[in-house]
Amino acid sequence: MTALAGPIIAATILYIVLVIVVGIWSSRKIKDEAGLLVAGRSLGPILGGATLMANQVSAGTTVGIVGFHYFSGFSYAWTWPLAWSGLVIAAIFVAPKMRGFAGITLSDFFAVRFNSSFARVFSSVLIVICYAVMLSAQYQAGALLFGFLTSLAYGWALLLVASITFVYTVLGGMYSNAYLGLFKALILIAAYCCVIPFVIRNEGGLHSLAATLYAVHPKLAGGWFDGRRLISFALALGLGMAAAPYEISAFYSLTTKKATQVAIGYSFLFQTFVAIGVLSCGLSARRYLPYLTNPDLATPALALNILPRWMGALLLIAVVVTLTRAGGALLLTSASAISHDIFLRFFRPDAAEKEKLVVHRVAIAVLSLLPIGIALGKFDLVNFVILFAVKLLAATFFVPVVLGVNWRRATKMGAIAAMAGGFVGVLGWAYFAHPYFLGLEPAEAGILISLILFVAGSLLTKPENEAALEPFFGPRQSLGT
Amino acid sequence: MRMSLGMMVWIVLLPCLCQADGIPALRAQNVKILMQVAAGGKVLVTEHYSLAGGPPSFGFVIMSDSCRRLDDFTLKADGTPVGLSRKEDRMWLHLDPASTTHAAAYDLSYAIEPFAGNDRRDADIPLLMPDRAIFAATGTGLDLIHLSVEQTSGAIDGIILPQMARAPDGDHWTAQLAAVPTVIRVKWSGSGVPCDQAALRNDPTGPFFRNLWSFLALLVTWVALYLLWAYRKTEIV
Repeated sequence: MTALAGPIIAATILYIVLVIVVGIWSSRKIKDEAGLLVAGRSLGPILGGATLMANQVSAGTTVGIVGFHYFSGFSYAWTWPLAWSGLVIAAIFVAPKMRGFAGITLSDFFAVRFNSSFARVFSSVLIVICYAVMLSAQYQAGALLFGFLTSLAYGWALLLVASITFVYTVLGGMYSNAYLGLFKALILIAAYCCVIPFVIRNEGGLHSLAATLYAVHPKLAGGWFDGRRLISFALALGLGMAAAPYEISAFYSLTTKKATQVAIGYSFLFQTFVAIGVLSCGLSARRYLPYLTNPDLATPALALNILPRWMGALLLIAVVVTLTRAGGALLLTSASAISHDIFLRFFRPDAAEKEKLVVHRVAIAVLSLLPIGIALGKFDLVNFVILFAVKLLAATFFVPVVLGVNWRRATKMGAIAAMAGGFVGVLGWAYFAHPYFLGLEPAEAGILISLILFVAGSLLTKPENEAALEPFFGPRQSLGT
Repeated sequence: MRMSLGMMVWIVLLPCLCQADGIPALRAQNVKILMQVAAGGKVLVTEHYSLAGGPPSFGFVIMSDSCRRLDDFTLKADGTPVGLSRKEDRMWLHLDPASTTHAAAYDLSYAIEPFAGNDRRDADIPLLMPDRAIFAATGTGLDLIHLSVEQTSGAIDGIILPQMARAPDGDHWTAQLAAVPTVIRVKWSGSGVPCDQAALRNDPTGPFFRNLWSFLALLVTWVALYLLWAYRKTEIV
């Protein structure tokens, strides 16, 4: 057990108590399914911005991206503004229309827009698979952290993190997710506001940091990843965010269409602090401890070996909040894909609201166990696992969501073919054609395949009926009026 | 069942689909580093590496600049003295064993005279470290490196980095670390070699500052312009 193990475990227990209190308080507001899954569509721009940021900033960021900066230096920082382009696409083309539609899950959109139960089930299954991979990265990061702190074996630490995530999610739902999203934003900002000046001042100033990194390896000062590779990372991250199921759920949760666009601005503001914080942590850890056995240990090593005890504890508590909150959002979205879109829709369509809540919570319990199998493999750096999951998300959902809400001619066949083609395209390209076969990275190939199949499938089949199009395009104006 | 098969496929596929750059590593049973500050402010460092495996050849590195005087490097492999070849590379001094050895234990010692300038009371005392990561032969390895500092001179008023526990007598500090730190930063009141601090500021930094200021400017501009656009008066139909 390290010196910080006691305070961090105590803080984690306190945090879970806070989650329970927020969960009980907010459960008074949870009268129905929409209350649990989309916060009763009551979130304003700031709370919504915190929710969006809290969805995007996961343990993949506070552990994984710090590890990425540790081993690759500055260049990965450029993926932040590049990936934000995807959220701008979402702000202009997706968020207002989705809020106007007012569904509960992304699969609701596929079912209504394409008038297809199969599209609903198919998209739900793909969401569960993509999010199982992404949740496994949260578990992996959490298990590394708790293993580091307590000397627990990795497998036991994984079970502990899965249990914390389950308790967090089942007691809260989207209401507590939203309020704890704001708490997460504030604690992250507080932690990085303390850590950044400390590491810069105590490691000899910015010039010393830069000179040492340049001496360790010149490419740590910039250029480790070339522009082509950064664009491929950012394309997956940005386009994945534009159509990510948990972001769509966050858009549904906001009060108005306008609020969706403003909330994205606040999420940029919160992310700015996080981007600078993770960059500082990764580079400082590399300057001071250049030979860690695993780059993903940069955050805990910084907290335990470099920062004063109270500051290290604050940083690690922020990481615990981050991984449980992001894990909760992923779990909630996956569980709603199973419970809302498959089980309740096809097996218990007449279920009462109380029964629906029970089904949602059982789905959360089952799906919280699924990623443990992947995380046990500890296949790679946390951020590479996250990147692979967002490549799958981007290739599967970007084209059918963004074109689906903006192109009247899009049809069910196009959407199903696009989802299948994008998903299989990424897997196939990564497995058989890696790297850059035909000049394309797997996410790019997947998105291109998805686009071709979407357009071809739509043009070769009959247009959807007007009733399916009306929630997204309004009533068609007849000629001459 | 189908789900289980799906998970198995994932478990088989993921290692092939993901990628990472590996860092060559040593396996160690224990690592002990002792820094002693003698009268007059001269610093003597001894390091002991008890290895359980690793690559046949590896070297050692230490941060070096004009503000520190590094002397008297000795290396013993299983108790036998081994010569060291020196090579300077920007801020690093590389010390490689003159012959390839497969020793189970390495003992290093060296002397440092740290800088103590008129306007700077913090001194960085660099540590020699293997030029690769050290895994623990057993356990998590996160507390593998046992670092101790002791003084008989009163030159050190406190230790800033890494975080170390101070003994009640005030002259001993200990810590267990995940890796060997590049320097020990101390509050220094002893004497030291004169130093041209301006020379330190000339160390090359590559494109770091150009990247950093461009990045910060881009983020701030982006957030400001976006919020201006989002708060425009136009209603969304």
